[in-house]
Amino acid sequence: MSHLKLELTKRTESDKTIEALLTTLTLNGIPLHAIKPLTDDKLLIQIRLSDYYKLRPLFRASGCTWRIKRRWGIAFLPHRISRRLFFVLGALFFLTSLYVLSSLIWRVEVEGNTQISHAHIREMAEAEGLYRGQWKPRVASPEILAKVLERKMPEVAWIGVTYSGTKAHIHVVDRTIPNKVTPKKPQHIIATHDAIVTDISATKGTPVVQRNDRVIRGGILISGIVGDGEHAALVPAEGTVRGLVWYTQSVVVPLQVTDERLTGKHLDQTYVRLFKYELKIKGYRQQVFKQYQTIRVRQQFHFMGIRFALPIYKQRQWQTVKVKTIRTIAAARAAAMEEAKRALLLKLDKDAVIRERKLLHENSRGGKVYINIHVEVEQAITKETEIIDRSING
Amino acid sequence: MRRWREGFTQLMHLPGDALLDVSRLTWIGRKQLHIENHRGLIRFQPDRLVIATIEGSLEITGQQLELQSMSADEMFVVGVIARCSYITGTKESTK
Repeated sequence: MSHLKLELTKRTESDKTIEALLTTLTLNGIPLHAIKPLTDDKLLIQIRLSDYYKLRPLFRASGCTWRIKRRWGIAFLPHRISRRLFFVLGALFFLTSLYVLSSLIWRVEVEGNTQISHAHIREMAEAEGLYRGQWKPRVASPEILAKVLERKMPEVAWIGVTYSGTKAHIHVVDRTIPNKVTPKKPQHIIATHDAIVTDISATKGTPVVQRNDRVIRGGILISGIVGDGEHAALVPAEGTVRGLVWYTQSVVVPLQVTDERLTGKHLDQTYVRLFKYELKIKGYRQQVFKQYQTIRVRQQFHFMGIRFALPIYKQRQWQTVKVKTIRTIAAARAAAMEEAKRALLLKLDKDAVIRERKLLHENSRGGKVYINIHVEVEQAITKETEIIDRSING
Repeated sequence: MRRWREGFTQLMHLPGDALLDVSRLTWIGRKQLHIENHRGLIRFQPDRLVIATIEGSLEITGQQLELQSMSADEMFVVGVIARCSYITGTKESTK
C-alpha cells in the first residue's frame, strides 16, 4: 500500500475549520490515519494514495491548503529509485554479479588418483565441459559426468563427481593393476670376480661351472643357452652363484695412539637464541675446562599450550683428557687386522662373509706398522649380461 | 420512533449500542480510547480533543493527543489521556 502524509493548513481568511474538513473526508469514505495537530491551524494526516484523488475536490471546497510531506509505498518506488539511481544500479550490479559468479565453477578438485596424473583427469573433465570458469548449468549432472569419465579412463575403477557451491570435486578410485613383469631378454650369468665357486644353483639356464671350479672374471657361470643343436633355445639365465674371492689389503697403523677420554666432570650452561645471537643465561662463574666435549640439547618451553618463542639450548661440557698409549707391535698388528677387515666389509655386500685372513707382509718403520693382508671372502659373484650374438652355435 | 426503540431495548434488556445510535467508548489503559458512533470532530489540539456525539460534545484532555485512525463512525485516540467528559447536552443536529 502506498501512503501519503499531508500537512493541512487553514487559510486565515476561511471560516471553516480543519476539523470540519476531516469530518467531511471521513463521511466521504476516506479513512484517515495518524492525525496529529501541530498548531491551532496546522495538522498532519496520513491517507492512502488511492484516496488522494477523491480528496482533492473536497479540499477545494474547504478553506484549507495541503502540502505533501512524505510519501511511501510501492507506488513511489520508481521515484525513489530514480533519486538514488547509482546506488540502486550498484546494488543490482552486486546482486547480479553475486549470482553470476556463484553460478560458475571456480575450482575443480581431483582426489584419490595415484596412477593417473591430476592434469590428465582435468583434461578429460574439461573435454566433458567441466573446467574452471564454466557456467554450472552447462555441466552435465554429476552422475552422467562420472559415468562418462569412467568410460573414458579404463585405468580407473570408479569416479564420483560432486558439486558443492562453486567447487567441483572429482573423486577417483584407482584400479589396482598387478605389477607388470617385463619379459627379460636372453642373458648369461657371468662372474664378477676371479673366484673359486662354493655354491651354484641355477633357476633358469644351464650351469656351466661346478663347485670348487676356478672361474675368471667375465667367465660364464650359468649359460642362457638351453638344449643342444637343433633344439637349442635362448633363455634369460637366472640363479645364484657364490664363490671365494681374494682381496689384498694394506693398512698402516701408528704405534703411538692419542685417545681423548672423559673424566666424568661436567659443566652445564643454558643459552637463549635471539635471532643469530646466543645469550648465555646460566652457567657463568664456572671454571673452564682445558679440553671438553659438548653435548647440546634444544629445549622448547610451553606454557598453557603457548610455545615460548625463543629457542633455548641446554649445553653440557664434559671434561676430557688426552691419553697417549704406545702399543706393542703385536697389538698394532691386531688393530691393523681389524681395521683391514672393517674397511673391506664396508666395500662388500651384506651377504659377504670373511672366511680367512692371512698376514702377507709386515714392516715397522718410523713408529708405524705397515702390513699387507690377504683376505678370503665368500660372496655372490653373479652379474647378468645380455646375449648379443644370437647364433647359438657358439 | 427513537423513543419506541429506546423502550424496546429497555424491555429486552439489550445493551444500548445494539439498536440505538448511541456512542460507545472503550478506554483502554490510559493511552488508548476507542470511540464508536461519533458524529465528527469539533476541535483538535495537542492537549484537547472535542468530538461530537449524539449525547453531546465529548471532551478529551491529555498530552500529545493523536488520532491513530478515523473513519466515518470510528475513532482511535492515542496519547496520555487525562480526562474524558461530556461538556454539552444532547445535540441532534450535528449530523
